[in-house]
Amino acid sequence: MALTTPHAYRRPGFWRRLRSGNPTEAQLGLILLIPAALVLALVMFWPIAQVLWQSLHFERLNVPARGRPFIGLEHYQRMLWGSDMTWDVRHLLGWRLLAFAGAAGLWWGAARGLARWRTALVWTVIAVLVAGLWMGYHPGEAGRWNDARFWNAFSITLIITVASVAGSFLVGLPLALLANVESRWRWLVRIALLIPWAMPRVLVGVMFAWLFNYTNGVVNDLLGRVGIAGPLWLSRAEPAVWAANITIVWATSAFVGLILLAGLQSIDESLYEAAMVDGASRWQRFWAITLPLLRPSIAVALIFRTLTAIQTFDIPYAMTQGGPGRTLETLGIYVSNTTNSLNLGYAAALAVALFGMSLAITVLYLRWIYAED
Amino acid sequence: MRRTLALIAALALVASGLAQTPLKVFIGGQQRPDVIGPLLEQFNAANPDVAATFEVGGATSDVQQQYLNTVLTSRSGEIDIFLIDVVRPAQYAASGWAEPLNQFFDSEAAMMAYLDDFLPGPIEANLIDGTLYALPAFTDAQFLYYRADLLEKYDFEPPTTWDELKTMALTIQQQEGDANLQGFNYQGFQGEGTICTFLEALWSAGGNWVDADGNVTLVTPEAQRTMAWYEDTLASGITVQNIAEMSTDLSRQQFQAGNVVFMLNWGYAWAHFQGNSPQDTVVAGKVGVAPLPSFEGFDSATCIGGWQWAINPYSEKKDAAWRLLEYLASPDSQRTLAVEASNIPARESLYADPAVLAAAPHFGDFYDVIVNARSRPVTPFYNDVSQAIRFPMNAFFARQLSADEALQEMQRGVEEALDF
Repeated sequence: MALTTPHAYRRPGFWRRLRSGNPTEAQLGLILLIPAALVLALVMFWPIAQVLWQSLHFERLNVPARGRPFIGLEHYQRMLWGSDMTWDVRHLLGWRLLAFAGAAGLWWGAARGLARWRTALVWTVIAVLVAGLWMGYHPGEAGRWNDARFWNAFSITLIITVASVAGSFLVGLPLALLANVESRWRWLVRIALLIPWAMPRVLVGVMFAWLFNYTNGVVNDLLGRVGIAGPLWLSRAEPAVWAANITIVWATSAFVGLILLAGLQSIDESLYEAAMVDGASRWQRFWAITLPLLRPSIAVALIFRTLTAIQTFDIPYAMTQGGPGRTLETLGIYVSNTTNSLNLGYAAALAVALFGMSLAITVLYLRWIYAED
Repeated sequence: MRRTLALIAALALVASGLAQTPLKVFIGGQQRPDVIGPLLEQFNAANPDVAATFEVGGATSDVQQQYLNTVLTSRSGEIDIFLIDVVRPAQYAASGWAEPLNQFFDSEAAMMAYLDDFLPGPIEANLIDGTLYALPAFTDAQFLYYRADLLEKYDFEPPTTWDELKTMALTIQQQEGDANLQGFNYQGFQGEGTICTFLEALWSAGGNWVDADGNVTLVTPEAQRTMAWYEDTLASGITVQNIAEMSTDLSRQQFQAGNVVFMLNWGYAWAHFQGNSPQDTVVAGKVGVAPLPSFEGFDSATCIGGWQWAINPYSEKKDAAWRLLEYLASPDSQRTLAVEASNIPARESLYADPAVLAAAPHFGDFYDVIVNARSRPVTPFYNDVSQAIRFPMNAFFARQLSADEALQEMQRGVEEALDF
């Protein structure tokens, strides 16, 4: 009877509706999300929380007598108060300028996406702090409580990120355009596009280490034939950074190219036809149609590429194990070296730094993408 | 009735299977599973109550260690016995990752008597403050490999000092007129071999990384002499300029291709040079082995290598594991490893063993080098110490650091690593 009484209708509560076997669309959506959310929580958020927690503890497996005491932010203090090393990668001036140019570009893109001045202010303060530390703010002498190695690793990671992402984009885009051209040889270009992508990175690293070998390598042999004395690619700091970046660009442009190719194919052909009717030149068509319509694909490619670049481990490790000196010791390699030394607490803190770097860049990118939508 | 009998028989079979203690041994891909496998089968045949099997993982010291890190951090008893590199026992002792073996002997005297046949170097690494943590499986050392044919051609004896080595190398390089011929090759890459490159010259100058009181002594005249010597190898042209990327196996390949007169390398290279190798060899029968040279007036020294058998403290079958351990470290097992895998025995008696000498006549030449081999820093923080030396050393070879800067960096880094 109650149901038929025409008094004020009350929406049944969440659980009541659920029990009635007739959930709303939103409820159904939530319910269907639960398994995925559980899996994510289990394999992602729980480990991340654990690493965060671990990074606040002293834990060295070769000092079991000290146990696992809580030490707060000590690891982060050690990391951030890093002093300069004479053999720091930051002394490679050319790369320093390049990294700064890249960082400036990234900043410019991000700033456009920042709508509110307060957010912009916070980010600027963070950026200035980071840049200040990076450029060699030395609060203390090298020693137990500060870690020059972290800033070296941070810098080479940033250098590789900026240089290899830009490089793989500049190589990947023409490759994608080439693979999109109607021609008899298109299959060849497409296969060429797939091969580097399908190759295991470690193999690529070992292969290029041979190509760049000073005495037996193909690269120096070719340079020698045109009368150029090749550098000691992997035995000197600056050429090693070049060699690593060239290798990474070779291995990853194919990935960028594939994503851009998919984007190119979704562009409506009639737009080009209309432009041609209007008398637009090739360049005009590229700038006015291809590039703007490719933007979502470019964003996706850049995000993925940047994230993998920040986590770079395999290629530099396979090429020089992080050498010469510490030139190619990226954050990823540093985390691995620290873990192998059984200093799990500090390794966790380094991993958190790496995670923070990825997160910051992702946020910047996302803001940039959504800024003009 | 017959079915019941069959059932009982089947049950008995299962029960006997259960009564067998399964033992799992962990080795690396570089330790010749094809030789270890039959060894374990022999043990199983002689010990019906035990079923030993093995698991292979990783092919370098670092990768094997990474796997064991995971197993032991999670306190897993999945593996009962494992092989560890000679630089690791101190860390295993500190972490409680190797079962102390003293308990399996009746007395300390009995243990020392048992250890008497082993070479002193490997025992020094495994016996920490009177506690025995592992038994040597086989040993290794760095040797001076030389081209016997070239030395003979120019009427040279193997060099005993670094200066002699340099003179001979320069003469041979000039006379041969081959631009690709390297006088002296050693390891300068970012890795373990570079520690030995540094320490061997340091020891042969009368220095050490640490003094008797435990103070780190890396900024000393001896260490400076070491660095000056390596600078000289590059300046004089007896060594290639890309030494900063020279890994252990890359060195071996260059020598094998006939491009090197003198080389520092481990025992494994010998078998490659004689033709037991994936690469072609042009130096078969033309290779000599000698102790490392030293600076005038000092003793020659080399780095000890090799692998040790240890028992997992989280294993629940330690008694059975000990029997297997004793078997694996026995003269018979080491003889098999020497004959079939060219592993250098850690037992003194095998250097006079006819079967061993027939299969590996060069072990006779190796002996003098091996007994004098010295340990790399014995510390629970070996990985940190190793990194603190190899990074600056590699940076020095890459001309990122001057000799003095590299030494100061090592001093600081090693002190920091030990400051706990």
